[in-house]
This record gives sequence, C-alpha cells and structure tokens, in this order.
Amino acid sequence: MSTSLAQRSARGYRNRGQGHYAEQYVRALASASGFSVGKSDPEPVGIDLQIKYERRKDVPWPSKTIEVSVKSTSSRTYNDDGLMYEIKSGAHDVLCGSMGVDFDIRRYLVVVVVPERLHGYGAMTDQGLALSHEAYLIDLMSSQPVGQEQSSKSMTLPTAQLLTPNLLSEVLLEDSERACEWLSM
Amino acid sequence: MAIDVVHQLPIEGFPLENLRAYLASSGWMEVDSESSGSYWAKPDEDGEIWLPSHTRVITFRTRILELLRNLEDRESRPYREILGDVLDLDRDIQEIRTFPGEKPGETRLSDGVEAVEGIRKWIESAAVSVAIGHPQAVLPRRKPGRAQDLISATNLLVPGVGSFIWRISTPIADNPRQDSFSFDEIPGGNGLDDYSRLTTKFLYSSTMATVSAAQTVHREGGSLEPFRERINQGVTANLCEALDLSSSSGRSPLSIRFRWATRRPVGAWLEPIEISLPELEIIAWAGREFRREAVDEGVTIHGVVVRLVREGPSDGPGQITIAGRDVDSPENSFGHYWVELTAEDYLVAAEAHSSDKIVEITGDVHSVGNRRVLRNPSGFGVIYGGDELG
Repeated sequence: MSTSLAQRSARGYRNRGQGHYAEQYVRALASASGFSVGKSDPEPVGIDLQIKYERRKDVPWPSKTIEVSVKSTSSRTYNDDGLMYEIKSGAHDVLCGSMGVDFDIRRYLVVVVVPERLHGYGAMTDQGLALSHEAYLIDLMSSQPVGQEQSSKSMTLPTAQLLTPNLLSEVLLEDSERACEWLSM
Repeated sequence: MAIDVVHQLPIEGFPLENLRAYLASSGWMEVDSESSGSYWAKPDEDGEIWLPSHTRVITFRTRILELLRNLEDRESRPYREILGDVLDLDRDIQEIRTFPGEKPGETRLSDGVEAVEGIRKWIESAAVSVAIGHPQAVLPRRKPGRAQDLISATNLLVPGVGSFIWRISTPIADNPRQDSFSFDEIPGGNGLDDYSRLTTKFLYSSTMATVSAAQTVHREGGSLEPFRERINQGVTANLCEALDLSSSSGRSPLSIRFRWATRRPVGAWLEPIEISLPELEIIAWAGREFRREAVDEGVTIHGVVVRLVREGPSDGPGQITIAGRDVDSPENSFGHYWVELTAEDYLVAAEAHSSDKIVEITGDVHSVGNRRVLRNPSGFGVIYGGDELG
C-alpha cells in the first residue's frame, strides 16, 4: 500500500522537527559546557553549527573553533563497538579533508539519537530539564570520501565518542588538562 | 545578494596581506593564530573575527564574506566599499557626492558630463600646484610632466551607493618615501610623502581652504581678500572653477570625502568637506575674479588675423585681433586676442589677413573685461599659409 500524502507530510514534519531538535540539543550541550554556539553567515556547505571558545582576560588560553554537521536518528541499534548509523554519502564526504588544505576550521559529525516520538524529547525531572537521548561526535576528516558510487555509508559511532561536556571540551580545546580545568571553573 | 560579489573575487592571488593590513590599520589586533588562520579582535569590543591563512580552502569565499559582513556592521558602511578599500590598498579614494534631485543613482547626462570634467580639473589643480611648487592664483596652462602622469593614472570608479556619488582613485607609492618638493607649506607634508600622496593631501587642504574663504565672504561680505590670503594654501582660479563645474555650475551642493590608502593611513582629514550652494556661488565668482586679475605670461598664440584697426598715420602702429589658440593649451583657449603692433608688424599682419595666413605671436595675456589682451608682444610673424589651423 502506498504511503498517503498525509502520512508523508506528517513524516516530513516530524523529520524537520527531529532535525531542529537535534541541533538545539547540541546547542544546549555546548552552551552548558560554557562555549559559544552560533551559525556562520553564510554557512559552509554541510555545516550546521560553529562552537567556539573565545580567549578571555581571566583565562588566557587561545581561541578555538570547531564546526559541526548535526544529524539525527531515532534508530537505536548497537553492535559491540557502538551505535550503528547510516549516513548519506554527500553528508559524509563534506566532512572529509585535511586541515590547511581543504579546511581552515576543524569539522566534525554529531549524530543525535532522539526518541521516536516528539513527547519524549524533553522531560522535567527532580534535577531539572532532561533532554533525550544522547549524541556522538565523530572526526571524519581523515576518512576516505565515499564518492558517488554509493548513496550512503554504514558506520559505527563508538561508545567512547558519546558527546558529553568533557568530550566536547577536550575536542574544542585540544587539551584534556585544560578541558578538566575548564569544566571545574 | 552579497555572495555574488565575493564569488567574483579572483581567489588565485587574492590579497590576503591587504586584508591583514586593512584590519591592522582599522584598529584590529591579531589575538591568536593557527596555521590555518588567525583571530582578530578590537580592544574593548566584544567578538572576534576569523581570517583564513590560505585561499585554497573550500570555505575561503564564505569566510571572507562573513568577515566583510562583520566589518560592515562594525563600520556602518557597505561591505562592497570595504572590499574596494581592501583591494585598493595603495590608492587614495576621493568621493564627491552631488545632489541632482533625480531618482537615487541617477543624474542628468549634461550634469554628469560637467561634473566629471570638473572632477578632472579638481585633481589637476592639485597635481599642478604641487608639481610647480610655489603658490599662484592662476596655474600655468602648460602642465608639468609628473602632473600629467598622475592624472593619467587616476581612475574614475563605479559610483558609490547614493545619489550621485562620484569616486576617484589615485595611486600612491606603497610605502612612504622621501621626495623633494619646494612647496613646504603643504600641510602634513613631512618630507616622507611621495608626489602622489602630497597631491591628494594638498587636494584636501586646498579645497578646505577654498571653502573656508567662501564661508568668510558669505559671513562678512565683500571682497576677494579671503581668497587672496589663502593663495599660499593652494586656492587658485583653477580649483574654484573645478568646484563650480563639479557642482554642475552651481546647481548642486557638494559633499566630499577622502579615504586614504589603507596601507598608508592618514590620521587627520577624515571629516567630509561640505559645500553649500551659496558657498559655491562665491567660489565661482572668486575663480572669475582671479582670472580677471591674472596674467598668463609667455603665451604663444597661433591664429588668423580677423581685425585690423589703425588710427593715425597709415605707416604707424596699429591694433589687430587674432582668432586663435594658445599652443600649450589648445583645447581650452580658443578665442580672440587683441594686440598692439608696431608699424612693421602691422604691415605683416595686414598681408596675413588678406591672404588668410596663420600667424604666431608670444606675449602676456591679460583678461580685461571680456577681452583677452596680449601685451609685451614678441616674435610676431607668419608661420604657414592657408586654412591649416583647425
């Protein structure tokens, strides 16, 4: 039976809502980590957000910036190494390249795993607002592009790459000691 | 859409160093750097901007556009203008805004033609003044070689946004250098300015002086004296005439801004020069008065004798009128020149007149009323026959 227009429209609406939520999830996590989050104007192709640490007078570490492409999935299928995820080849390849040759700012893939239903996205708990479920941050800069031979690529998002304030700080500041120090401030 | 301009940028050879120099000269400081780029910030202001180090990265154009938009917000002027300043790092830009009263971005063709001619004369007045090195109320018609070279190298740019903004671009040396000029009164001349930069500075200061004289006359009435007092500041008949033409013979006020080459900024003279219609009327009058008073020395005329008058004995001196041109300024000076000749020369003139031959004479041209009178004549004679004077 073919999918009705209403069903496809509803799915499209959910997809857009899902994508929007995923981006806000990353914004919230980055902001909660003490970093500034914004969008470039104009946006580089394939990039959704820019996360930045800006040099401060009281913390004279050099400014740092990363760019992220935010994807979302409601599929929670795991293997021994982590979450299984299928990414379109175009979205994958735009993140492949070398610093200083292809890119001037480091770029990463963030995949946000979201609940299947909208009402599961956020919940108030005794500790405050909880956003579901989780996200993973992956460096694809050294990966080989897929090209046009395949429409997508299967990958595993390692459990160790679970996006937390600590991981984000380490990646952005490029220094695990500074990351600890930053999060303890 | 802004991106179309940035897409037209030649990436190969894009002058990143110009952009760095522009930021540095605009008060930005490089606060951090990586191999792929650098962060810039302004003291006591929030927000950093990112400048990539390499043009080859795929995001280069978008980074530049983002940077330009940031500067556009900070400087409250169009990013295209900023990009122009970045690309023309070694040129001083002059902007003359007229107010033609038409739709924005339009001006009548006749007004435009007059304005462009006036602008050329405006640049020329400063270039010649600096080149000759001493003040005089009316500049010589023969332009020094370096003045001609500078005028040839001066460009008219795409008009600015607004109505109607003429933009002129003058090249200067890429670094200060010592040049020798005897016109030491050029304000700001510090012995390290090249001829071009001295000329653009002089253009600013002499225009300001002219406006100041006009304001004095407007306020206090009366004489040419405020203009005469400022001849040593570069006020000339030529400059007055240029401003009058630029305003379409007094139909439009003027607003003049100078933008100094980013690589060699000038700390002062950033205020625009505003010239009202009453002031332009006074300036035009001053130009005419300077001409009326002035003498052009050593002018050589080629022309035909169109009039002969002799009172007294038939073998005595007489007066002739030559219809001709100054050989050193042929495009500007066709007219009738009245000359008193000796008896001997008068005979030659009479013969030339009857046979339509071209004559030559040298002397000092005075403006007397509507006439050009050539005094102290010398070297009068026929140079060739027939209608060869175009």
